[in-house]
Amino acid sequence: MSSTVSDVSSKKHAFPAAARQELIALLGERAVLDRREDLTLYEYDGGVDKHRPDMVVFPKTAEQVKKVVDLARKHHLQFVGRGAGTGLSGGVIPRCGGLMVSFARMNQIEKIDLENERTEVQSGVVNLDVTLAVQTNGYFFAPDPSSQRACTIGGNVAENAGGPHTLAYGVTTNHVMGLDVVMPDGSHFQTGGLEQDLPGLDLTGIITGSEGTMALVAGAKLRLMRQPELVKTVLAIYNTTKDAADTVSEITARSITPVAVEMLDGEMLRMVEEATHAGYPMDAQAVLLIEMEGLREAVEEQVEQVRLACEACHCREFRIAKDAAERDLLWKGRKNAFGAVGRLSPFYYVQDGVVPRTRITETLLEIYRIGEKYGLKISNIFHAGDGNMHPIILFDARIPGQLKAAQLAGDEILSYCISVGGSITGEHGVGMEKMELMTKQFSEDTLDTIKDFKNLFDPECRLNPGKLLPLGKCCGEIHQQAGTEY
Amino acid sequence: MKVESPASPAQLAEFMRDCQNANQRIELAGARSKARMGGPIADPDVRIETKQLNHVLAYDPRDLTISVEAGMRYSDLTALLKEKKQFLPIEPPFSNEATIGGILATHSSGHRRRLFGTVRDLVIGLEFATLQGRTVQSGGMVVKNVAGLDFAKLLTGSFGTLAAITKVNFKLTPAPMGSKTFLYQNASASEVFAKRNLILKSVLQPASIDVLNPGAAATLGLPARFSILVEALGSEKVLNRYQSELAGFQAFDNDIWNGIREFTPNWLKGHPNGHVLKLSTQLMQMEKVITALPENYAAIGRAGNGILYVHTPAAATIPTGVKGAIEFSPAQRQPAEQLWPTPGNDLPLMQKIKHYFDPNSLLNPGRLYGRI
Repeated sequence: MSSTVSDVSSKKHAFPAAARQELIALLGERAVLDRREDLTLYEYDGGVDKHRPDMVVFPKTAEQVKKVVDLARKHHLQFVGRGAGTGLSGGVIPRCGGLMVSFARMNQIEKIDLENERTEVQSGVVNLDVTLAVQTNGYFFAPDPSSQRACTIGGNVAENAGGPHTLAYGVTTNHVMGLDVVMPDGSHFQTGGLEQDLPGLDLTGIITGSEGTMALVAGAKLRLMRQPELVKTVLAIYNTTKDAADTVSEITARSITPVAVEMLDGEMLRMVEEATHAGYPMDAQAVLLIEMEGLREAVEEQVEQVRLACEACHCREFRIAKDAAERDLLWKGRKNAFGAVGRLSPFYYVQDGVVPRTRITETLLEIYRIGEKYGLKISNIFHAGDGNMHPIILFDARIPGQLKAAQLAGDEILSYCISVGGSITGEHGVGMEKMELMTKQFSEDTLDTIKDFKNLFDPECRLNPGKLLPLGKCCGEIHQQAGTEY
Repeated sequence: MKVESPASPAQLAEFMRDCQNANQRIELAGARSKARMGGPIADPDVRIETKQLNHVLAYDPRDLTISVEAGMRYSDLTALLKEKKQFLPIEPPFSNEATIGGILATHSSGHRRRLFGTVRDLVIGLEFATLQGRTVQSGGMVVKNVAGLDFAKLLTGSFGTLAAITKVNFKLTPAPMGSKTFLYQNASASEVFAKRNLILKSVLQPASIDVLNPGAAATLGLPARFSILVEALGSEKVLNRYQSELAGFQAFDNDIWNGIREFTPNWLKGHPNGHVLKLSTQLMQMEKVITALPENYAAIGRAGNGILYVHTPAAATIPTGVKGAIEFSPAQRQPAEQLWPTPGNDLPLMQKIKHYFDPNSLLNPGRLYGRI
C-alpha cells in the first residue's frame, strides 16, 4: 500500500560522520539507528507514501531534543519529529531524508493533578495511556482517534487529532493548555500554561495542527475531563444508506446532541463483522453507532429522542447496548475497522474529507459514483455527526495503474467535498498527500501567508520540509535544496 | 483623525494596505465598547470601523453553523438564532453593543464557559485582512477541519494587533430546553469553595459555576457574603436532579446572570478610575487569591475554569505570584510592566509574529498591554 516518493532532495554526500559521532556522544549508541534495515521501519506512516530517513535518534528529554536540533543545524541536516507513525497523510515522512527525531522514549506522564483537571506529559506518551492513568479516579482525556492505543500526544498535537467523541468534546486543540516546544532555530520555549486565558498571542493554538512543520513538541499540558454518569450506545440498522444519512440531519434538526454519531455503510459493516463479530447485521445497507453521555436523566431522554429520529428515517432496528461489554464490542468493531479492511484487501487508501452535515447523503452517492468510475471498491466508515467522511478505497498495488487510480479517486472525492462547502481534511492533516489540493480550498493570499509563517520560524526549511503547501508554494528547499548539502 | 468605514472585506484590506504604504497608525474599531481594554491605542492617524460589515453571509440552521461579518453585533446575532431555537453560548460583557470581531479580538467570554468553552472553541473559520492587503482564510464552514494553519487561534485575543478580522464562522448549539440557577452564600470563602469542589468532583455538568466575593455580591444586590452561583441547563427532569443534588443551595432568579455578564461594564461606568484585573488561576488556587483581596474590591470568579475578574475602585496591581493582566484601565497609558507584569519565555516568539504582520507597529499600537 505504499509508493516511494520521488527523492526531492539532492544528496551529494553520505550522512556526515561528525554528526553521527556527536549524536552518539549526546544520546548514547543505543539511541541512534542508521543501519539500512533499521531505517526501513521508519520510512512509512499509515498513509501511502514512504521515504527513508538517514538516521533516527531517540532523545529522552526536552533538553536532548534541543541539543539534537542544535547539532542538526550545525551539520546542515533536515529533521522531522515522529511519534508512533500512525498518521494517515505522510506527516512524518522524511521526504528529503535527514534526521528523524523519534519521541518513543519520551513516554513519561510527568504529573497528574486531578483537582486542577490537568496532566503534564512528555510528547511520546500514548494517547490511551493518559486516560488509563486517570480513569479509575473518574477522569479521561477526550481526544480519541482510532489509533489511540498507539498514537502519541505529540502526534495528536501535530495533527490536531480528533476521533468519534470530538463531536461533543472538540479536537486536540480544545484540550491542550500549553506546550514545551523546540523551534527549528534551536530555541526552546514553553507556550501557554496550566491556566486558561493567559495574556498574549495563542501560540499553543497556532502550533497545534501545524503538522510538525513549525516546532518539535517535547511535552504538553493537557486538560482532563470528568467521566459522565451514564453512557448509552445504540445501534440503528438501515436498509438504505440514504435513510442512515438522513437520520444524521434529523438528529441535528431535533436539537439532540449525542457525543458520537458514527456511520458504517453495508460494504464496511460486513468486513467489520467478519473480523470482529461485533454483532452488526450482515444484510443491512448501513448502521449508525450513536452514543449519548451525561447525567442519567438527560441521557435517558436523549436515547428516546434518538429512537424517534431513527424511526422517522425508517430505521429497521434500534438496539441499545445493554451493558458495558456489549457497548465495548460495538466500539471494537468501529475502532478496529482498518484492521478488518486489511484482512480482505492488503492495499487501501483512507480519505478524510468533511462536508456540511446536510450534504452527507449526496456525498456518499458521489463517492460510490467515483468508485464505479475508477473500477474501485470504496467502503465508508466515518464520523457522520461531524460530516467527517472516511471513504476507504480498496485497491491492489500489484495491478499496474491501481494505486494511481486510487489516488485520483481520492482527489476527486476531496474536490467534491470542497465543492459543497467542505474541507479536504477533518483530522488526518494535509501532510504530503493533499498538498496540491490546498489550492482548491484556499486563496493565493492564504497559501502565501502560510508559507511566510513557515519561513518566519524556519527560514532554512530544516523542519519537516515539503509538507502542507503545494510544491510551488513550499519553502525553497524543494527547488534549491538549501540545507541538503551533505 | 480620519475615519474609514469600509463596505466590504476587500475594501477593508485595501484601506489596510494604503495605511501601511502611507505609514499611518490604525485603530481598528467595532462598536468601541471596550476602548479601555488591553491598554489604550497610541495616537492613531486613521480609525477603520467594521460597522458596515454587519451581514449574515450564510446560515442553514440544519447545519448548526453560521457565517457572519465581523461588524455584526452580538445582540443582533443572538436574536436571529433565537428565532431558530439555537444559540451561541458566549455571554460576553457589553453584550448589547459588542461586535463579533471585537469579541474575538479581545477573547471576551462569559459565565457559560465551563460547559461550552469560549469563542476559541466555537469558531470554525474566519477571514482576516492584513496590512499587506491580503485576505487570509482559516478553517471553513464545517465543524471539523484541520486544513491549513489555525490562524483563528492566533487572532483570538490578539487585540487587533496582527490583522483585522472580517468574517467569522461559528458552530452553534441547540437552545437549552430550560435553565435554573442555584445560589449558596456563606461568610467563609472555604465553605463556598468546598461546595464548588463537590460539584467539580461530581457527575453534574453545570453550564456556569461562578464564585463572588462579598464586594461583588453586594454590588449585585445580594447579602455581602462569599457566594457561589450555579446554572444548570436541560429539561425539567434534569433541572430537578440538580435541585436534589445541590444540597444547601437555594433556587434563584435566572436574571442574576444578566448582572454577572454586565458586571464589568457597569463597574467601569461607576468607577472612572477603576481597574479590572483578569487573573488566570488554577482551580485550587482561586480561593487563596480571592480571599487575599481588599474588601473594597469586587471579584467574580469563573470557578469551573480558574478565571478571576477583580474590579477595583482605583489603581491596582496584579497580585504577586498570580498570572494575569490589567484588562481595563483608565485612558492614560500605564507601563507595560504594570499591565502585564509576567509574560512567559515565549514573548519573543509573539513579538516575532507581530513583526511579521506589522513590521512598523502601525496596527492598534499599544494594545495587548503594550508588550507586543
